[in-house]
Amino acid sequence: MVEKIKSVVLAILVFSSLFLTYQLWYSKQPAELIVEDTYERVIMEPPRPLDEVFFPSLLTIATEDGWIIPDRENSGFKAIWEVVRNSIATLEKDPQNIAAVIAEGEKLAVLYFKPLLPAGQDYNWTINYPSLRISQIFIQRHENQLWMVAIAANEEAIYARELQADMANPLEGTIAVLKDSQAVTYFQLSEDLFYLSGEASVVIQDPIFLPTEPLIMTRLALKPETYNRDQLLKTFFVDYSLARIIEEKDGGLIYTDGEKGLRLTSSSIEYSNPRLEQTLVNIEYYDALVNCNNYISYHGGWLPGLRLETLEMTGWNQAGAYAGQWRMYFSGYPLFTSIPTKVILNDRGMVHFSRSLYHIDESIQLDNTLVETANWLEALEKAVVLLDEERAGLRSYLRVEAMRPAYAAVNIGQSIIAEPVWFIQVNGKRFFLKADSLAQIKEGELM
Amino acid sequence: MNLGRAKLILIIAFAGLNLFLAYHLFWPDFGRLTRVAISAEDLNNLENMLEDNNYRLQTTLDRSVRTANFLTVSTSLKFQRSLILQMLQDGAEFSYTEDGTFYRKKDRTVMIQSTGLIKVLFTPPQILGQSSGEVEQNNLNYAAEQFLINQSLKPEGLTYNYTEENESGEQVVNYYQVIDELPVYAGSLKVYVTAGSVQAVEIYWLDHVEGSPTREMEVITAMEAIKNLIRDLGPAPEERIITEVKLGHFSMEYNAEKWEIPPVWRIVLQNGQIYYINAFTGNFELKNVIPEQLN
Repeated sequence: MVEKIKSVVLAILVFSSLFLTYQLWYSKQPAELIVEDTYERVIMEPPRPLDEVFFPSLLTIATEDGWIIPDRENSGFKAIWEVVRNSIATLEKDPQNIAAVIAEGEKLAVLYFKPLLPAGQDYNWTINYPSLRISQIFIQRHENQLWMVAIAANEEAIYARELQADMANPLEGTIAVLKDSQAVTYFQLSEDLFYLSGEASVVIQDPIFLPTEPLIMTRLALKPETYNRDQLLKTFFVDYSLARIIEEKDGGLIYTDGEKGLRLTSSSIEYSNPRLEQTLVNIEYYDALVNCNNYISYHGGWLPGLRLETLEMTGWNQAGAYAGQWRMYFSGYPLFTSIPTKVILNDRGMVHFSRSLYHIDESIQLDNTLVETANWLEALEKAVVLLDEERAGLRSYLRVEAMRPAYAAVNIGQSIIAEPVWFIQVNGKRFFLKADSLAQIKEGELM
Repeated sequence: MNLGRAKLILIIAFAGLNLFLAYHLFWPDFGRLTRVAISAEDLNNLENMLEDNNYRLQTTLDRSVRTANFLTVSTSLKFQRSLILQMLQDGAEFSYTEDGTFYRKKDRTVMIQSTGLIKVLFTPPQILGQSSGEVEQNNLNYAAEQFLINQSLKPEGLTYNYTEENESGEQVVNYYQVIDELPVYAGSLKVYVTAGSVQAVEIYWLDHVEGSPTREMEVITAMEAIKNLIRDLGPAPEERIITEVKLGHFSMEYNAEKWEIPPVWRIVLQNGQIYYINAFTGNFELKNVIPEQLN
C-alpha cells in the first residue's frame, strides 16, 4: 500500500515538475522584459548632407529653337550645378553694371529653385550676406564675359559676379555640349502664345516649359516600396509595444499610443502627432529644410528618383509650420499618387507625415508601352472644359499654375502602372489627362 | 538498492525541483500581493500637489500594484445579430441607405451604422415603468434597466454609469460595458427619456475577440495618473474635486475590423468631466490621433 502511495506521489511530482517547467519557459514575461529599452533614435538610413540631395528643380539651356531641359541625372546638369554651387559664396550684392548685364546680356542657361535655395552665413552655400532665398540663377554672357546672376525671392537685390576663366570655360563647354545634344526642345508658355475658345483671360503663374513636338513616353509597371515594418515602427514610437493595433476593414493597420497614430497600408504610411500642432514660434526656412531632409531619411530613406519638390509655409490648422513634399521621378517625369509623400513640421517636431512611393516593377511586361503625347493646346482646352463642367463660370479668368507631361499611378487589373498623362493645374484644380487619348483620370482613381 | 528507497529519493528530488520551479515562477506575484505601489510618503506628496493646484481628492485610491493587458475587441456582431433576428421575426421591413441599414416595424425603427452604432427609435415613445408620468430620478436607472430587459435590449456586461440632462432637456441614462470584470468605457448604451417615456436607445457594444499575443504589463499607479492630469490641465481657477479614479479600458470608436483597447485610469471630476489617462504611457487619450490623409 505504502509503495502504491509513493508511486502516485512520484508520478504527481514528475508531471507537476514538467508543467512548472513549461510554465516557466513559455508563460508571461515580466513587463521589464517585454518593454524594450529602445530610447536611442532608430532610423531607416542616416540623413544625407544637403549638398547631396538639394538640386535645382529645373535647368534650361537656351538654343536657337527654344530651350533644352536636361534631366537631373544628366552629367551636364550635375557639372553645371557643381560649378554654380561652388560660386554662390563669391556673389556680390548689386555689383556695378549689373543692369546692363541683365538688359543686354545673352541668357545661356537658367537654374530654377523650387524649393528655394537657402544661402547665408550659416548655410552650406555660404555667402557673406544675411539669409537669402534664391529663386533663379542665370548664366549670362555680356561683352564676351560670363556672368552668374542670382535672383533672391525674399529681397529686391541682385547678387552677381563675373566668372573667371577657370569657372567660365568648363561652364561654357558643358552648356555647349548640352546645346548640341539631340534632345527635345521646349518653349516657355506665355499668355500670347495661344487662344482658348470662350475668350478666357489667362494668366500663367509659374514658368511653364512645354515640348515643341510630341513626346514618346513609356508606360511602366510599378510596385510599392517595401520596408522592414519592425524597424519602421521604431522610427515613430520610442516603444511600440505600448502602441495598440487597429485593423481597418480595408486591410490597413493603425498603431497608436493614444497620442500619435501611424497607419500602414500595402502602399503607404501616414502618421500624425496632433499634440505638436500648437506652437507660437515660427521655424526658420533653413531649419525646416534640414529637418525635412532628416525626416525622409529617418522614416523610410531616399529612393532613386525621389526629389524634394516643395517646401512652403503652411496655414494648415496652425501658424509657424512648413509643409515639405517629395515626388518620385521616372525618366524625368513626376509620378502622381493618391497619397502624397509629405511632411508638416514646426519647431516642436513632425506633426504629420505621409509616404507613398513606388519602384518600377521590371518583372511585369506591359503591352503597348509606348505612348505619344497629344498636343499640349488640346490638353489645356480639355482641362478648361472639365473645369467649366465642374465649376461653371470659372473659365472667364484662368490661372494656369502648372502643366507638364507626367505619370499617374493607377490600378489596371491586378497591376499598378504609371500611366503617361498631361498634368495640368488650373485655378487650383488638378487634372490628369491620359497623354494620348486625353481621357480624364480622376483624383480618386490614383493609387 | 531497494525500489522503495529509490522512490523515496526521487520523491525528495522532484519535490525539491518543484519548489525551485515554483519559487521562480510565482515569486514576483507573491511579492506583488504584498507590494504597495503608493507609499504613505507618495500620498503626502500627492496631497501637497493637489492643494497647490486647487484640486481635492474625494475618493479612495487603489494603492496596489496592478497589471493589465490590451483588450482586443470588435463591434458586437453577436448583439447585432440577435437584434436583427428578433426584428425580422417580428415582421420588420429593412432598407439600406448611406446612413446605415434600417429595420422598421410598427412601434420602432432600428438603424445599424457601418461603425457598429445601433439606434433604436420608438414611435410612439415607450412608457418607462408601470404608468406614464415622471419617473423619480432615483428610480430612473432601475426603470431604464427593466425597460431594456423587457425589450430584449440589454446586452451582456451592462453596468450603470451616470444620468445626465442633455441640451434638449432629455434625461440620458448612461451605461458602460464590463468585460472580464474590468470596465470598458468604449462600449456604451444610452437610454433617452422624456417625461417618463423612452424616445430612443443608442448602443455601441463590443465583443472581446482573439488578438495579438499577450502583453500583460504593470500599469502606472492611480497617483501617477492624477499627477499627469494636473500637469496637463494646470492649476484650477476654481476648486476641482476628483470623485472617481478607476482602472478600465477605453478607446475612441473606430470603423475597423478589430482593434486593441489600452488600459486607462478614468478620472471623474465632480462637475461631470471625465478624463482617460493611458495606464501604460501616462498620456491623455486624444481624439484625433488617427492620421488624416494629407493633400
